[in-house]
Formats: sequence, C-alpha cells, structure tokens
Amino acid sequence: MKKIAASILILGFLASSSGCGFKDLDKRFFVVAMGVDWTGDKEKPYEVTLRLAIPASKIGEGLAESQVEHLAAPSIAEAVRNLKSHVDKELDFGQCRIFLFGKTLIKHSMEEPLNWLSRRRDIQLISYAAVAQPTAMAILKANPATERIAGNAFFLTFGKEGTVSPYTVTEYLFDIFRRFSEKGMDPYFPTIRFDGDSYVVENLVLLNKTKEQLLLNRAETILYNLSANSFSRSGIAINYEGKRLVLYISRVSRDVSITRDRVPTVKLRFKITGIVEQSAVVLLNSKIPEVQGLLEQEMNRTTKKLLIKIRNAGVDPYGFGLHYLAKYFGNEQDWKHWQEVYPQVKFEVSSRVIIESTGLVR
Amino acid sequence: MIRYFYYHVFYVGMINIMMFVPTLLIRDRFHGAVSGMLVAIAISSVMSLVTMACFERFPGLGYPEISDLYLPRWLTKVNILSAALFVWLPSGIIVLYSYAETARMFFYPDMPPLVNLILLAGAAAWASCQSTRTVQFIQEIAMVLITPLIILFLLKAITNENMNWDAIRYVAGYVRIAPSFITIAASTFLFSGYMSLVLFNRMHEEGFKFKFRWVVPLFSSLFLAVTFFVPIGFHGTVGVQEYVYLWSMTADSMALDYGFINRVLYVFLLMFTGISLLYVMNTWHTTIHFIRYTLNGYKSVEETPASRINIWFSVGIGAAAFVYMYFISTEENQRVSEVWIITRFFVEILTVFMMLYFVWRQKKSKSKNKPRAEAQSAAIGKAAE
Amino acid sequence: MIEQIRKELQNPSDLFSDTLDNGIIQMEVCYFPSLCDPTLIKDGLLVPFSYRFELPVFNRMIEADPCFSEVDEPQLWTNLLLKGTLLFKIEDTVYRFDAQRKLFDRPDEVQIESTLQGPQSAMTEDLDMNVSLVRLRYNEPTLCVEQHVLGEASKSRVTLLYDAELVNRDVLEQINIRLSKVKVKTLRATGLLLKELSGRRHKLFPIILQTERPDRIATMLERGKVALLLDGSRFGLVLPVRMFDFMHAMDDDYEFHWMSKFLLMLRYVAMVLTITLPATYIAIVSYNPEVLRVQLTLSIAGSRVVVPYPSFIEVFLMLFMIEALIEASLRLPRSIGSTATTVGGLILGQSIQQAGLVSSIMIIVTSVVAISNFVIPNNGFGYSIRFIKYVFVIVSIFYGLLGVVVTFFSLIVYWCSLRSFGQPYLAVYVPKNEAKRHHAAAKGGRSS
Repeated sequence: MKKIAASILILGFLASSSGCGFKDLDKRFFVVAMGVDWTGDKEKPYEVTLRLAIPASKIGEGLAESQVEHLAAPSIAEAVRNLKSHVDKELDFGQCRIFLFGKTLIKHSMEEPLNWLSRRRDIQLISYAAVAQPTAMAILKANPATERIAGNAFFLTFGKEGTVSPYTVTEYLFDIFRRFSEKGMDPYFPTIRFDGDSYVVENLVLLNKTKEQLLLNRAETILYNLSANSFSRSGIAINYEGKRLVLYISRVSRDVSITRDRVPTVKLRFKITGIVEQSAVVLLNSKIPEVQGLLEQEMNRTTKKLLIKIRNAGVDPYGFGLHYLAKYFGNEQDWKHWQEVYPQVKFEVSSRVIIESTGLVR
Repeated sequence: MIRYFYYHVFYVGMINIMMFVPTLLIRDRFHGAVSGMLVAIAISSVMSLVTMACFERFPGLGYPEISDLYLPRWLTKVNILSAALFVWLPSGIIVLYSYAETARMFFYPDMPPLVNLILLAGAAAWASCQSTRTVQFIQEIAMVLITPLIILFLLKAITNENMNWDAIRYVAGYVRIAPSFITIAASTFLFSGYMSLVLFNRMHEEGFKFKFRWVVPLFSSLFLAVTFFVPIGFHGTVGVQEYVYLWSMTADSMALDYGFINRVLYVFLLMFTGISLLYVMNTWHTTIHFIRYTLNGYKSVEETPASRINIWFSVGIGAAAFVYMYFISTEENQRVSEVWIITRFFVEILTVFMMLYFVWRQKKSKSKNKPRAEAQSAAIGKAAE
Repeated sequence: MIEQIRKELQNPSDLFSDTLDNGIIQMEVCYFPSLCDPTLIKDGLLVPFSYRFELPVFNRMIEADPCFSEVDEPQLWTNLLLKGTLLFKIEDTVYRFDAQRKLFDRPDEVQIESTLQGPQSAMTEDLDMNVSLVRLRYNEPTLCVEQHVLGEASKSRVTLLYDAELVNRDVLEQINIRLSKVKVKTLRATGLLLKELSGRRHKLFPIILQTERPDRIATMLERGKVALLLDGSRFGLVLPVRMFDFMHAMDDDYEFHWMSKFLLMLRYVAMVLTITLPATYIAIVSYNPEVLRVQLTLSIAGSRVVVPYPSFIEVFLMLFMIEALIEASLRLPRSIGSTATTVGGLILGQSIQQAGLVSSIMIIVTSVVAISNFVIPNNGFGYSIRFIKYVFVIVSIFYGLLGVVVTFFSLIVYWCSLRSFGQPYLAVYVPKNEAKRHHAAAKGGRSS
C-alpha cells in the first residue's frame, strides 16, 4: 500500500512538473534554412527570412514543400520572435543547417548576426554559412526542381554526402566564429545564387574581421580551394601546342614555410599528382616532362597572382599570420611586427606536377 | 582485481570537463597554463606513484582503517569526517550541477533546473548507496559501454581536418611563461583518480601489486593535453575564451557524416551522462562510507540489499544537491569549483604525506617489534583470506 | 492391514484391495491401480505368486529384489500407497513393492529452447528420467544428487545436483537454508520453486535460470553451478546465474566460434533495442527531434502528420496491441494461432496506419520491439525485459532522451546490485571465491 501511494505521489509530482518541453514533432516547424539581409532602413535594418519545412507524408521529386516567412526588425532576435506570431507551430532551429547572409549585409557588417548565432543554444555549430546573391530572401524563396526534402539541396550542395565540387568551399559556423576572432587568420564565405532550377556555388568572398573586402572569381576560387585546403578533384588547364590540355588533379599536398626576415617571405610548395583528362595532342612519354613543366609554370604563376591580390586586399584567409606565429612560437611583439609587414610580404610558389597517367589513351 | 583501480583513473581523467578545468586552463593560456600543466604532470606523476606504492603496503585496508592504526581515534574521525564533507561530497555536487545544467541547456532548455536534477540526483544517489562491490561492478559495466563512444569521440576530434594545429602550436609556444598556481592545481585534478584508493583499497587482496602503473601518468597526461588543446584547435586562440560550455561547443564543431545522428554533440552528452553519473556515484559513495566509518567503524564492502542507513545518507546527499542548486548560480558554481580544486590540491598533498608517515610507522614497528609485526601481518593475512 | 488403510484413506473408490489365495498361502494386496503399472505388478508379483509357487523361492525373491522391502511402520503405509507403491502382507509381515507407473519412458522433444544442430531431447515430467538424462551428459563420480521433499500437500521430490569438487560452498549453504525455509502447500511447477527461492527482493528479474535442456544443465554443472530438478516438471533450475547466462543460447556452444560471437552481440543489441526503442521514439518525437539528422526527422514528422494525439498515447496503444497479440497467440490452440497473427499483425497493422491512428514509423518501432524481444533465448528473462521497457517509456514521457539514458544507467545499477545466491548478477569477470575473501576481510579486520 505504502509503495503504491509513494509511486502515485512521484508520478503526480512528475506529471505536474513536466509538460515543459514536451512538444510533438508535428507541432513544430523546422527551420531548415535561415537568411539575413540588410535593408539599409534606419528603423528596421535586418530582414530575416526563414524557410520552414512542411512535413509531408509523401516524399518524391520536387514534392518538398516549404513555407517561407520573412520580416524586418531592428534586430535579428526581435525579427525571429515576431515571426513566431506568423506561424501556427513552434519554430525549431535545431535542424537549421544553413545560414545565408545577404550581399548587402556582408558589405555592411557581420557583427550582429554572428553575435546572435553564437548565443543561441539550438544553433548547430556544424551548420553551413554562405553569402547569398543577390539577397538571402531570393535564394530561400527559390524552389530547386529536384528537391525531395525541404532544404535538402543546400545540405547536399555543401555537405560531403552529395556533390563534391572544387568551387564549393564549405564553411562551417564554428570556423566562421574562429576566423572572425583569430589572430592572423581571416574569414571567407562561399557565395550562392539561383539559376532558375538549381543553386550555383562558385565564388568566394573574403572578409576582414567585419565585412567584405574581396570577391574571388571562378578561377580564383578553384585555385584558392586547391592552394589553401589541398582540395583535389579540380584541374589545371594550359594551352599546349595551340590546343587545350586539362589535368585532373587526384592528389595534392602542400607545405608552407615562412622565413624570419624583416619582411618575411612565404614559401608555398605543392606536389600535385594527376591524370590528363583532355588533350587534343597525342602525349607520348617523351613529351610528358615538358607538359609537366608547363603545368608547373602555370600553377606557380596563377597562384602567386592570387596570393598577391589577396594580400593587397589586406586579408589573410590562408592563415599565414597564425602559421608565422606558430612556427616561431611568437608573442605579442611578433604579432605586431607581422601586422606591420604583411602588406609587403613576399611570396614564392614552387610546385611539382606529376602526370600519373594520360587516361586510357596516349 | 587491479583493473577496477584504472577505471577510476580513466573517468576522473575525463570528468575534468565538468569541473571547469578546461575553462581555468584556457583563461590562463597566455599566462602560464602550458608550463603549469607540465609542472602538474611532474607533481602528479610523483604523487600518484607514491600513493599507489604506499597503499600497496596496506592491502584490504582503506584510508580510515590505516589512519586508525597509527593515529588517535579522535584525530582520524575528525580527518575522515572533514574529508568526506568538504572534499568528497562537494565534488560530486559540483559535477552533478554542471552536468545537469549542460544537459538541460542542450536537451530541454524550458525545463526547470530542479526538475531535471531530480532525475540525475535520483539515479546518482541510488547508485551511491549500493555496496562498494556493487559500485565497482557498475563502474566496470558503464566503462565498457562508454569506451567505444570515447574512442569514437577522441578519434573524431584528433583526426578532424578542421582542427587548426597552428593555433595549438602557437599556444604551446607560451610554455616560456612562468606557471600560474591555479593551472597547476587544476591540472593535477586530472590525475586524482588514484585518490579513490582511500576507500577502494578495501577491495584489494593480500599481496596485490599494481601492474602497468605507468598507465596513470600516461593517460592522465594524454587527457590533459586533449582537454586543453583540442578546444583551441577548434575555436582558435582568441575565440576559445568566449564559450561558456566550452567542450560541448567543441563537440558540436564535429560532424558525423554517416549515421542517424549528425552532431557529435549528442555522442558527447551521452558519454558524459555516463561519466558524470559514475563520478558522482563514486564520490558520494566514498562520502557515505567515510561518514559511516566515523559513526560506527563500519567497513564492509559487501552488503546486499543496500542498508537503510546508506539509503538515508544518499537521500540526504541528494537533498544537499538540491539545496546547493537552489542557492548557487552557474557562475557561482564555477567559482566554488575553483575553490574546491585548490582545497583538493592541498588535501591531496596532505594525504600523500600522511600515507608516507604511515608507511614509515609500519616499517619502524616491524623492525623494532618483530613479534608484534608478525602478529600484525598475520592479522592482515587472516583478513585477506 | 486393508481395513486400517481403508479407514485412513476414507475408503477411496479407486483403491484396489483384495486377499489373494494360491492354495498354499494367502496374501493381502492393496494398491491404487491408477498409480501403478499393471504389467509390472503382473510380472513382478502375481506371476511368481501364482505359478509354481514355492515359499522359500518366493521369500528369497522378496529378500533379494531391491524393489521389495519390509515396511514395519504402519503410519507409512498410506504415504507409500499414494506414491504408487503396492503393499502386500504375507504371514503378518507387510512388504512394499515399487511399481510406479512410469508415464515417460523417453526424453521429451525440445519445445522452448530449440537449437538447430544441438541435442533435441528435453527433460520430461519424470524426475528419475531427468536425473538419468543429466547423468548421461555429466558422467562424473563427483556429481552429487541430494533428495529433498517439499510442499506440505504435494510432497514433491526435489533433487539437488552439483559437482562436489567444483561447487561453491557458500552457494550450497545458502540454497540449503532457503530450501529449508520453503513453505508452500503444493509445489506444482519449477516457477513456484523459483519464486520461493529467489526471495522478496528479486521480483523484477530472475536470478535463477529455468531450462528444459539437460545439456544446458550439464554445462552449468561443469561450471560449478547447482541444478534443481522437481518431480512433475519438465524444467530444471540452475543457480547461481549471471545475466550473461540468460542471453546464452545452447547453439552458441555448438556453432562456429565467430558466428556464435556475432549472434551473441546481435542478441545484446536486440535487447537494448527492445528496452529503449519505444522510449526513444517518444523522446525523439516529443523532446529532442534535433538529435537525428534532418532528413530522418522530416520523414518521421511526415509520417506523424495525421496522428491526432501525443506520441506516448500512440506508443501505449501499439504496445498494448502487440502485447495482446503475443498473449493471444500464446493462449490460442496451435491450429488457430496463425489467425491471430494474420488479423493482428497484417490486417490491423496495415489499416491502423492507413486510418491515421498510428504513424508508420511507430508500426516499425513496434515490430522491431517485438522481434527483438523474441531474440532473447530465455523466456523468463524475456518476460522481465518485456516489462522493463514500460519503465523507460514512462520516464521518457517526462525527461526525453536524457531520461532514457539515465534510466539505462539505473538499470545497470539495479543489475549490478543483484546477487544470485551471493554471487554477482552482472559483473564482467570475478574469481569464484572473490566474495568470500571480502567477507572475511570485512569481518576479521584488525583495527578497532
């Protein structure tokens, strides 16, 4: 009798105290993507767009249904709170894996959006972040033709499960937080736009600690991905005997060293192994060293150009500054010195290209 | 059955995350944390090996019994009682608090903290009131279940391509700064697993020897390196200080690309549910048994079902956890843990010296008074049979 | 003699008693034909009595044959008769003749713990047959067989088997204490004995293994365990046991090493699944949908769209259905048992989902729970597991995923705190006499 009474008491207590947090899946709206735009308006500068997944019992090509809600407010937090009154279910950010920032916002300042993101407990630090062209709202309102689950196109584009493109530089939220505060390392974002039936990710925006400084074009993006992240599966193209020759890169390894002169020299060394993907000229074994040399030259030339362009923009996405500090176990003085001399820093690129095979034909 | 001892070393090596040790170390990362850690490794290695060697001479006896042999009864009682109430009890409560808050933050932020505590404190209290032998079995089973998660997690962390080794190297370069006291005290906590011998030495049999004793400094140093450097590798040298739930956020920075679960954060929380409950169970169990020893000299390791006095004590301890949580905020908890870590550091040193003194007394009485020593060793032999 | 017996037994109609006369000597015979074997009586007693009867020869037979013996205490008569013994009286001496009808002369077929390539013989409801089955498989001179009689009304014979060299004396002592404390009117099944021996604390999980396989008993004896056999029951009890023993199927010993290890792992995974899956479903649907990856969450959400009530009602509904289905197919005669599964499993499962009362994911969860539960080789342990999952469900209603994990920890605590006759219930490896050593250390400590 005593035991029964005790257990009823405990159950009653539990029942009265809980209910907080108990909310069924179908009573929640999952935010699968979120976008923030800068309106320029004094009163309500932030326009927040949310893409909400509508759970459907049928799943199929192009059947992904989602609802897009947007609202402008003085701050992001207020915008999200006010958006709650626009929907009939609880908003859940737990599954939101992509954050888009409008082109205008990134030109203005990233401080506030990042602050909001880092404070929310339900934001995953492994979410992807990207810059939306022209605006985040436009991207979120677009509907890719092949999407089966709302927002899945984003996850597949940026994640490793789906396409792996040399133009896509995946950027995680935690990495952004790190780069926005780290010494000698600056943030970047991939850009995303919509071409009518699918998303296109091919450019890179480089930032200093607050806003956009430089936009890399397609060729530069692929080169950056190759030289900074050792991303293989891209290619080098040259003109050889008047015809186009393309090398598919299957493996890259890179090595950075920085000299400790008054004005340091950054030495980048690459070892690239690849397969000839396309060549109108028949490549005999005797020609291969020559081709390799040409490829090396091309690689060195373009990379050095890119490095100088990035340096001149005053940003350091490669993290050369941090590497310099790490290499010489620097202290505050070294850091000051580096900041002073970075605009004049010299670059040396040397690469070794090895053609593994010429494909199935010569 | 020496293996049980090493489980203590392992989970204490990991529980530092809930004791705010990483936060303390990171705070001083440019002010002597790295050198402090090195000093701590040296101090703790010596202390742990010496303590283990001392306890080897008293098989089957816990610290209270040994102390009773050579010190007056009242002094032992005061010692044991204050150790139980001011060292063992609070450590369990601090860890329980900080784990409860971490779990609540990520699992259900809308739930009142005390309701969440009912679950965790209930489970921990129930586990702690069991007999010493049961506690050891629980420990082993839990460790066996958790180990795959730990390995997965550590592999995921160390082999992660997003980890920035430059940042780690840069911070490691600050080894030239003179060590700060708080980082020494905090880092020695990772080695404290050997302190569980004060109670669990009762389980050891006559003639036992610690095999693989180098595991203790080795693994603890490894855990120390991981606990300090991995967050820096993920959040950078500057960004790392901004996080309140440092390690949870570090875990959240890793992704499982394949599998039902996408966020390593949940693997981490799952793992720490087990580790925290284990730690709380062991500290509270030690508390209960120390108090019982001072009350009536009780020192049995086997008792099923759990006796009523144990249950009442564990209920009391659980209630103390509630009171603590009601009055202390998360920030205050962090400060309390800091005070506790320093107190523990001194208590540990004191314990080591006491043990050395006991060993010296034992040796002296053996050489001086042979027949008595023989009687004594005969008693030990009889006890262990 | 006959009058006295008839009076004591209140003149039962099924008692046969007569005075036989072969012309030389008279013999009073008295027995229950229903309990005795008529051919045995005919061959063993009536034939020597009637054909070519010679008194010295007959007396010699009575002296020499172990089936016959003198019964000089009249108060034993009724008891002997009720056990199926024949009593006869020649020249004022009463003799007994053991002529029990043997209902079973062959080992039974394995019904519950079936194996593919192991022995197919199981125990019968006859004690002597069972003892011989065990002895056949464990043929050691050290095997001890002790007889006990339990049950005030049933007076059932209980046999205690153990290897005298291997057995743990502590355990034996405890069993003898507990056996002497057993107070029941009738002992009808080993299940009753199991409950009596387990004591008050062990109400949730069995600490004694019930088995119908003589080869399992033999393996357990080899490991120094004690077996208990009860007359009239085709199950033996084995103790002390650990949790791992309940997850062990006899096939594991007979099949290839790695395959059986793999199956063992599979069984543990299945056990964890059947315990936690319904609770995890509630936790994920109602508390922590962010744990799973987004694609999975959205498909679960999609399947739950039409369900009009909270997740735990759904879970209770489906668990009730499946438990009722299991219970029904157990109680139904075998010939119509399949009807229940068809109606319940196929038709109902299909339409309950189409009607939108239950999500399709929940149907999957329910089936996984049921199937995984059947993977557990031991029936008694399986029952406990079936029950324990409701505890998880209830906790998860209030605490979500963390509740499930903490409850699992508590389950481990509970398992570890159990002792099967002083031996740990859940512990990885413990030397046989470990407990004893600690007891001694605790009792005979030298300080104080």
